[in-house]
Order: sequence, then C-alpha cells, then structure tokens
Amino acid sequence: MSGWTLLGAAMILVGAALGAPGLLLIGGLTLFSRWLTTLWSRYGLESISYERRLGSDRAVWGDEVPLDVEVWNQKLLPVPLLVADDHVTDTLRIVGRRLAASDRPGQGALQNAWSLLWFERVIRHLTVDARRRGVFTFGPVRMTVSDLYERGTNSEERDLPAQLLVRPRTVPVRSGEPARAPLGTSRSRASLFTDPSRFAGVRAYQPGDPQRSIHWRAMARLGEPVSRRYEPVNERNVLIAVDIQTVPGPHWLMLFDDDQVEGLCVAAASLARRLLHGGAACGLLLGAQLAGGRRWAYLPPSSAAAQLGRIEDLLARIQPIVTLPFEQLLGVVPRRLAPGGTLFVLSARDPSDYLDRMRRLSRSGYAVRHATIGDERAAHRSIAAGAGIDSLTAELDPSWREADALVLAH
Amino acid sequence: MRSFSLTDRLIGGILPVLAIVAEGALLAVVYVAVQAAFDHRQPLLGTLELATAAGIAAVAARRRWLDPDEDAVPFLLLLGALGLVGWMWDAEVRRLVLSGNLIGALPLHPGGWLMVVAGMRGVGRGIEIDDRAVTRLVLIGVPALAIPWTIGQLAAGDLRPVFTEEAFVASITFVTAGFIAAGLARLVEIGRETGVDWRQDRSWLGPCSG
Repeated sequence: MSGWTLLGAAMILVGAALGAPGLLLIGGLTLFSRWLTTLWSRYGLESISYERRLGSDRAVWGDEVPLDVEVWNQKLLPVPLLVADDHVTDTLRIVGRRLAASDRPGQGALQNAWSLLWFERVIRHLTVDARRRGVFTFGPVRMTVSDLYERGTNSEERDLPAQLLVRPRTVPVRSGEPARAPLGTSRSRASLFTDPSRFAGVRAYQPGDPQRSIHWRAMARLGEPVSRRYEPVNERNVLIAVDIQTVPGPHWLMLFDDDQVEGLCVAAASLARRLLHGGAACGLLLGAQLAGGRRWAYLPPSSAAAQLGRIEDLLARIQPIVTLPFEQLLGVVPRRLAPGGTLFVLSARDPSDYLDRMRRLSRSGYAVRHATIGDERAAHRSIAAGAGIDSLTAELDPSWREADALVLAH
Repeated sequence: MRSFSLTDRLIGGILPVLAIVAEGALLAVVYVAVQAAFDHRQPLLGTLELATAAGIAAVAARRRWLDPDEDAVPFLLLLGALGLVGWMWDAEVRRLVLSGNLIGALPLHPGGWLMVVAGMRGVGRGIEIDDRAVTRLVLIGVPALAIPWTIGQLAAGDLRPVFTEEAFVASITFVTAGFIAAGLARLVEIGRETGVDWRQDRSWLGPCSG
C-alpha cells in the first residue's frame, strides 16, 4: 500500500471520527485517484492479443515478404499506450522501419505502439526486405502497457516463435567454353552408374536385373529375356563441397570476407540448380557453423524434386564461421559418397592446404572437380590444375549481387 | 502532413480550457477556505473568476503578447492588473480606496493575491501543457485539498455551510476537469509516439471523461 493510499484512508477515518464530510470526500477522492492511476498497469494487458503473420517462412534473396502485425484489445478498458517490442534477428530489414536496440545479444526490437479503444483491433502491414541471406528469428515479444496518469508500466513477455529463411540467390550457370561442357553428365568408359536417358541397346537378362529394365518388345522379338543397357556416366552423383574459409590462415581465427562467403553460397546454389535440372543427383557438404547449432552439414546426393530446396535451405543456414578445416572435411567424403561419384569443390582461397586430399580422392575413384571464385581465381585454378585436378574458375561479374550468370571456365 | 478541421481544432481546445478550469477550481477551494476561516466573510470569487484570470494570462502567453523569460515587465504588469481586479472585487475595498484609506484597504480581501497566483499558473499553462505537470497537479492537488478543507471546516464558524457548499462544487470541478485534462494531455504525448491523435479519434474523450 503506497503512502498516498494510507493518507487517503487516514483522512476517511479522521473525517468519520470528527464528522467532517470534507475530509471524507477528499480521502475518498485520494483513494480513487490512486486506484485510477494504476488501473492500466494492473488490468491493461488482460485480453490483449498480439499476432504476427509472415507471408512466407521462406524467401529468396531480394524478395519482399509481407509481415502483418495485429493487436486486438478484447475488453472494455481502453489502453492508452501499448508498446510491443518484437525481438528479431538484428540484421533483419523492415522497409521504412529501423530496429530498436534490444537487451538480447544478436537481436533488435521491432517496436510498435498503439492506443487502443475498447474492442479495437489494428493490423499494421509491414514488409520484410530479404536482402540478406540467413535465418531470421522472431520472438519473444515484450508487451508493455502504460497508465494514462503517471508513467506506471507493466510488461509481459510472450513466446511467439517464428522463422524466416532467406535462401541465396541463384543465377544461370554458363560455360566460358561451351565445347568443353564443364557441367552435366559425361560419358565414361566404366562406371557403377548409368544414365537412363542414354539408351545403349540391350543385353541378355541377368538374374537380379530389375523388372523395369526388361525390354519387353525386344524379348518378344528375340524369344529370350533381355534387359535395357544404358551408357555409363560420371556425375550421376555430385557432391558439392563448399570451402567456407575465405581468408588465409588458421580457420579458428574466424576471419571472413562477407562478399566471398555470399559469392560461394550463390555459386553453390546455382551449381546445384543446374546439376539437378540436368538430371544429376546432387548433395552438399560444408564445414561451417549453421544456424541452429550444427557445426557441419552433409546432405546426401539426391535427384528428388525437393532436393534443390533442401540445398538452398542448408545454404541459407550457413554462418561465415568455419568450424572444421576443409582438408579434414574432405576426409568424410569416402564414408559418405560411393566411388564413381563426382566431388565438386567450391572455394575462394588457395587450394594448397587440401590439394593432397583432393588427389587422394581422385585416385580412390572419385571424379574430383575444383572451381574457384574471387579475385585470385586464375592463380588458384593454376595451383589445382598443376596438381592434376580438373580445375575451373567461377565468375560472378560484377558481384554476387548483380551477376546475371555464374560463368565457369577452364 | 496531417490536417485538422475546424472541429478538430475546437476539440483540441478542450485540453487547455480544462487545465485552466482545474487550476481555477483548486485556487477557488483555497480562496473559499481563507475567506471563510480568516476573513469570516462570504466568498466573492469562485472557480469562474479565478479560471478567467488564469485564462487571460494563458492567452497572453500563448499569443506571445508577453514572455516572462524575455521581458518581465509586461508579465508583472498583467499580474498586477489581475491582482488589482481581484482585490477590488470586494465592495468594501473599493469604498476604502475611493475614500483614500489605502492602508485600511490593503489587508482586506485575499482574493487579489489568489488572482495573482491564478495569473502565474495561467502563463505556465499558456506556454505549454505538459502531461506530467497536469497529472502532478491533480494527484498532489487532490490530497492537498485536505488542508483548505480542514481549515475551512474547523475555523469557518457560522460560515461553515457556505464554505462546504462552495468548496464542494470547486473540489468536484477540480477533480473532474483535472483528470480529463491530465488524460488528454497524456494522449497528446502518446500521440507523438503512436501517431494516434485523439482529436481525430474522438472516442478517447469517452474514457477520459468516464
């Protein structure tokens, strides 16, 4: 009980004892005014609903995502001032708004304020400018209501978790030398894998051949069971291994070149799209800190329709912090990818540290390809090519933001 | 840029009027207590007169006819004029002054001093209506009313019913006008933050008046 309330109560008691109606009146008014000043901080937050609606939980770099914030006062008591501090990842951009500082590390506050009458509902239409790749989290939201008189406030926090995944942009992949066709399936003299689009005749049926491979018409003509035969190919299974380290030196220094990291993500996503559209099974391997806490990621090659989305989601989660040296990361390849598959290494730095590992994988039966981006791509390509690795340069000109294609060249 | 209609502007004028009425009513309670308890005479001034004095000073300050910070002379002249009017409101004072007995008239009718206070308060309200100041006026003013009420009821003698009647009306006027003014002033302040202007969303007058 505050001093003013005690004073009011005392005035009522004295007024009643002395028979002074004036003191009774003033005591009553004092109690009433004190009750009135804290009315909103006591009851203001009751029956207030707050909703945040994202137009989509996924976006591609450069998209604009609608974001609606709805607040509804579902009671008779009007609320003079309601402030909602919606904690969001501090790199999130809202068109026409600036995030306020937050006491939570890595988060800013999307601040909205309203005056709400009885049963009033207000919807604010905002737009998220997805001009940064990554995972953007929303929530919790801190609701603060203020009294109409004095400056008393009351707050409560509500968990309203939501997430927006901004995938890297993708661009068409072009070859600097179309005749050499740096990407796509290529014929092979021998491989464990065949390409069903490259029909190469029939052969005698062997026990174990899948029933769908039997050529029924030829069998009817020849009078004996025959199976379809396809050309052996490489690059049916392609694993894109992304070297996230962009600055020379030990990986634990955690130095990075933001533009190079984004360029690697754009290049990886674009390559994956191209490979998947070409019918290859594509996977992803990277050793970087991922949003959500994982330290490295391996996505097995697949040609499923949803694979491109999975790869882009994984690329969206990458943070530019290297958690595993790339040469060590390449060590997991033999345990994850069958020989005969293609390892496509994507890097933005001198490959000397992991050249040995690439050579060993090449000798183990993998088709190893190396593509390098960045200003020194030609020099890095020469180093890899000098070690006998099929190496390419990958160019995003003028930058990963404006490039209209990823140009691969030997 | 938001434009305001004539109605919006008229409604917007409610806030300063209420703040000045609250000031006048508070001073009226004090005046009635002093007049009844010390002068033992019927009160001559009320909320209307004191609020009018505060209003004149507020208009003068708002229209920049006077600025106490820049030039104190017009301000002091206005206060002197208001004090003179309040003092001379009493017929006895006028009679003594006209008869040349200025010394005899000076201790009479404290309403003049309260008119001066009303003028000073009015200048403050004319310059700016700060929600915190109005809220403080009401929240401290309400329990502070106990002082004139105690004085008035204990010392008014035969004038006690007169005091009770006059002070009751003034007290209720002060509380009502003060709380509405404090609420509206706070809404103006909130409107700067939220963009909601109560003059264009007049439903807010309901809760404040309620």
